[in-house]
Amino acid sequence: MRKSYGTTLAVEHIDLDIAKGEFVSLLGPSGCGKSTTLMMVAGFEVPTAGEIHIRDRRVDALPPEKRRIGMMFQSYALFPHMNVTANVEYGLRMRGVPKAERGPRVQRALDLVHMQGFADRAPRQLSGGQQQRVALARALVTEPDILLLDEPFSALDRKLREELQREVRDLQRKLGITTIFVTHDQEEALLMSDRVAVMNEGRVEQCTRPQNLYGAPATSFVAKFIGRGSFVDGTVRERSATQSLIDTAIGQATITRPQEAAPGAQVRIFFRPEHARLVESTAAAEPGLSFPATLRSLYFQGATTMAEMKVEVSEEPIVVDLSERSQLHTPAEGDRFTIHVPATRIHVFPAMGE
Amino acid sequence: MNSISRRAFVGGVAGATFLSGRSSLVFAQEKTITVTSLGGRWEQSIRTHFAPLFKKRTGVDVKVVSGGPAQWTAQIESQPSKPPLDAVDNSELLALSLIDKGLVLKLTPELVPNLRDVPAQFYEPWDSFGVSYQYGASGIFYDKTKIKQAPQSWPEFLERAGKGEFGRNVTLPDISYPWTPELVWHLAASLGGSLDNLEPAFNALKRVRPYVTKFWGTAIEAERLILSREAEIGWLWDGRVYAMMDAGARYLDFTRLKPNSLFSLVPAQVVKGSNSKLAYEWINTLLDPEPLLEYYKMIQYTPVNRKVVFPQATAARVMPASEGTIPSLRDLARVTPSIIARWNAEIRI
Amino acid sequence: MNTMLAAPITTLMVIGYVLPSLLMLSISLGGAIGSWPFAATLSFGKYIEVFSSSYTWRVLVFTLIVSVAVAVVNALLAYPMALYLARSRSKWTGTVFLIAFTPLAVGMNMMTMGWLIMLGKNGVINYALQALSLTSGPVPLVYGLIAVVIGLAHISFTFMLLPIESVLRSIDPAIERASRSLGAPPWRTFLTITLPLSFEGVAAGMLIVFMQSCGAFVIPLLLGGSSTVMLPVAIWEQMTVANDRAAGAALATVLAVIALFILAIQLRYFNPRRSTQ
Repeated sequence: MRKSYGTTLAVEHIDLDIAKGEFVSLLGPSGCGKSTTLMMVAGFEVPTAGEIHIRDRRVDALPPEKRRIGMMFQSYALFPHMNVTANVEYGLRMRGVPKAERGPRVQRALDLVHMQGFADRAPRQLSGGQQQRVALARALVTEPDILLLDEPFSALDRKLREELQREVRDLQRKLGITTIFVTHDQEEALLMSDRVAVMNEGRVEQCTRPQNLYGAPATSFVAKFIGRGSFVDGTVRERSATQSLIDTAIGQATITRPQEAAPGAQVRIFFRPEHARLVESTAAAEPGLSFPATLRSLYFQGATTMAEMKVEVSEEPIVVDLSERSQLHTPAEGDRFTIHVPATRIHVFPAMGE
Repeated sequence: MNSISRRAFVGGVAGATFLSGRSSLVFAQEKTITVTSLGGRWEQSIRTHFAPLFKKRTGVDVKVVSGGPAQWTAQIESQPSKPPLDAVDNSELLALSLIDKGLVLKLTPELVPNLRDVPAQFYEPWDSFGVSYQYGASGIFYDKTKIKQAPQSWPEFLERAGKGEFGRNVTLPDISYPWTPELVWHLAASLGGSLDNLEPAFNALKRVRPYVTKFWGTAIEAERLILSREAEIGWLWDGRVYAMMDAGARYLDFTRLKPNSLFSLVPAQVVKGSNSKLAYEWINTLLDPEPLLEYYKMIQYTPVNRKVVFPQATAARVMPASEGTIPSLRDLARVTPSIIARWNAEIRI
Repeated sequence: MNTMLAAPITTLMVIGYVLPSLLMLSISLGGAIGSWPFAATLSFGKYIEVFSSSYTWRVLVFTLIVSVAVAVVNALLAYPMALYLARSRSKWTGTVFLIAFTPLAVGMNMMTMGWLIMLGKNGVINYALQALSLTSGPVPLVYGLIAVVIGLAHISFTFMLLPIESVLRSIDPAIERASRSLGAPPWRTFLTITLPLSFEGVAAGMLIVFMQSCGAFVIPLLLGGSSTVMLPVAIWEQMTVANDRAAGAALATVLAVIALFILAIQLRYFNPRRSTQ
């Protein structure tokens, strides 16, 4: 299945290809254009330019009811004046499926979402999670070409959310239905998706597997949005085939990942807290970046302990993962340490404004 | 001090104070008299022609209350010991109701000197417990640009209207208008019927009904229908039509039909109460030829006082009192409920 | 504390509404005017008299039928406008709202005069009809049923529009999108989803308009003819023309019973406390 999008004022430029059976999330902060994109695929918004194809059928001129889609919404959007069965069979009714056939199909859909016993209930008698399950059954029963989910779990509490995330993902894999999922919650996106498209201000910054997003962010926005990390400004001193040297206020960094900035260019280097380790001395065993820092505050989070380290040259604290160290003895505020980040874990991005 | 003793002096001062205090008390009590008036130009005339004259003569202010006879009668009947009105302009039948309840006083030439110049037919129907100070005559108004040959008699009018000759441009009063029961009698009488045989009138009215654009409830509504040209011919009082003609409705004309015209009488009555002395004086003012002439010029209803001299220009319009007619009021009162019921059943569908 | 807060309005209601209603009831049952409610002899004679006249029944039935007709007409007219106001994001919605409120702002007398000018023999509509050669002579539009229905519908339009618009606005837009995503074109979405969900607003509006029309006095009096007598006009006539205050009070009691009945329906089915959705 192939799709290419167009442009509206809210969405500047999108070009996405989604394979059959793939689960792709559109992730980003509010206003990034993810919902608008979904609405364009669904047919509720019209692209100013460009095309949309679903299953080799060009659909951008078609109204939503002709596109063979299934949708789920944040507010569940069950029809309050109909019971569960009527809700689920609605799509079948609208497409002219004869009554005899509707019954079993509705049953099967309800089975899939584990809501068999609720056939006669009214939506207001169901909890949020149950309503969302019925909404899923309703969307799937018509066997649509593509499933569109608009932040469907945002209104649920955490435990329920996790439960439904798993269920939806399992179901999606089992049925092999192409899915586009919109969310602002990165954990959710990373957990459920085959690929995630991180969007910012109407453009896709990077669309790739979750591991790549985390380990190899393409832009500083993606690096900052996914997971945690620290930025440090610097200037490129040298660049060779195997490595680059970057001067920063806190020290010189050796980079072994390929990067494009020429000597003299302004850059920002980036590393994640779990890759910043405490070392005994400044004599570094491996190439990378070492710098002295003072412990400012400690955040105990159960499985992890994060520390905010203060460096002399700037006010911005650098976050470091001290989980291992704190198991042995708890560092105190004001303690001085040396932090080391290995070269393979340092990313380089152009300086802000470019 | 001279020969007036101190005691007498003090007594005199006290007495003077007492007297002046007392008369100022009396003065305060009689400072206003509350009277009624029908609406529109009628009320204007009351205020500009009659009230100032009354004030000049008695020094008392006149408070004019608007509304209608049904309202005023109800007010008087509900507060007999302390009536809110001192004199009332009543309808012919409701005047009888107040008389029967003993709530109004008899008028005599001694108490109301101008009564001497008024023909008896204007106070006899109420046994002198009320006097009509003006009268209107019923007739037909018509748009003379549209209707070239006006009917000459009531039967002719009803026949031509009933055949649709005038189109759906006829107006007649509705049963809610106070004079309609009398109108029904009058039409019946002109067709050979009577109070106990109103059949001819109802038959004629039923034939006219499809051509009536609206049965109006108040004279103001009738005037509006005429001035907006919704109606081209219909029943109304001479005074009202002449006033409209004089105000500029050049297309309008009025004629009285044979054999005679219905009087519209508005008996003015003195309410039994603390202000009755002043009320008598008010009735007397209402019958005074000077303001009555101004009233006539403004409204064109005919004053009853024989002494009134009509201006040359309009003297021909005045219907002589002998050409007017009214039914026996007590009999009319007896028959009115059945007229209303019959009208509701047969005309109002 | 709550009873204390309710005291002023309760007193006002009792003095201004409950007591006079009791007095009216007593007058209809034979009590004299100005006497305290329960006179010595009470009888239903007046009610029997009033209701054995076919005219009374005609007036009553006519009043009910016209009120229903006005409610239906207004529902049909107001719904599209409500739909527009609830769904549209255009900058003209503010102006349209203002227009929808004009019947309330303009006095009833002005409105009546306006309609007389529009509907009269020499009025705007007849002028247009004849100018366009659609009719040869003037069509009698006023002083009859048409004018009364138009006038009543006009004056109560706002009360129909507001409940419908409010209910439509409260419908989650995602529901309509869900319906379309399931294959229902806009007209079908409207019939199966939007319309049933907005029923409550339509019913509420119709009840209000019905009640207002039942109690209408000025418009039937001035715009109607003698064949379009409605209950309030009949009451007034009993009081002023026939001078039969007991009959007027009896009819007024009937009108009050109708109003209370409508109120009971409203409370039972449209009590805002009931629906906790």
